[in-house]
Amino acid sequence: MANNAFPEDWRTQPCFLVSIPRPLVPFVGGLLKIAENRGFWASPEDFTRGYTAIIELEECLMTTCLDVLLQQNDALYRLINTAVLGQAYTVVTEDPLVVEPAIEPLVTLDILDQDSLMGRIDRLTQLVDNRLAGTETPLYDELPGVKQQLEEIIAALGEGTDLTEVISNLEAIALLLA
Amino acid sequence: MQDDSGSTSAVTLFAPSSATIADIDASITVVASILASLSGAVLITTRIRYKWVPDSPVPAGGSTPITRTGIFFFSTGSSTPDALISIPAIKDSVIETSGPGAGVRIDLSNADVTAFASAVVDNGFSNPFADVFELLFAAYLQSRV
Repeated sequence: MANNAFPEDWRTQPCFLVSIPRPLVPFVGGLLKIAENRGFWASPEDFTRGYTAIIELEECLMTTCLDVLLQQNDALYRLINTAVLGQAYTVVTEDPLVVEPAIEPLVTLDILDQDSLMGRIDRLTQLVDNRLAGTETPLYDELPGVKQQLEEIIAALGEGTDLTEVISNLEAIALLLA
Repeated sequence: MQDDSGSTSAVTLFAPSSATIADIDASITVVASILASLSGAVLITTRIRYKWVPDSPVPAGGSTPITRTGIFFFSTGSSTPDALISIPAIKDSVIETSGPGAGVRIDLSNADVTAFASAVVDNGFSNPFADVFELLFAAYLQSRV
């Protein structure tokens, strides 16, 4: 009779991920059969714990294929790349799953779509640069900027100033900020 | 029965197949009380086995190897151990033919599989600790002798 003990704290022990080729799964699972028997364990308590653990291990052999995990990992990568930089993807075939463009070893900060997260931030940055500082940007060329127009208003204020022109400039600023 | 060295042996008795487990258990209790005066070993466990064999040999009906075993995992509740039932020479017709589990995973939606699962659950079978099966949730092919 085997005399194998099994720890009471087995559920809190670390777990290890093992990649088993699909054709090998039936044999690996079959080899675990010996640990399903009461005679393999030292005591009824060891049998209860050991049996529970070995059955759960056998269940795990078919729980999630590593290919599925990797596909989900790639899907997460594409989700982030699309949302952050605007990379568009196309499903070429479903089974096996082929998606283009392929995942690159590295990513640059080039914005591929202005509707992506980085694209929207870039749009806001250009807007501020243009509207406040008067800098011409690829998306905005409303010159001059608020800062320059305010400076012109302040410079023009004095005795005998034509308030009609000042009000007109302020209205222009309000429009830029709207 | 066990001696003081830890070695074990057994007394085998045959009971009528018409007897209930309760009847046999009561008979064992009577015999066990007498064994103490006949044997220096101590009775440590008893086991009742029910064995059925056909009256005449049954010819094999298929070509599926006996080692191709279907392993069916049943849950027994959130705090009690899962358990398995193994069926030798499982037919190819219940094994998935596509997807990551192709050739290994058993199709839980197959009509024969669902009928088997219902029969097991509805008839109160349990794991080795008497926790009753509640649900078939996974099944696949194993190689078992």
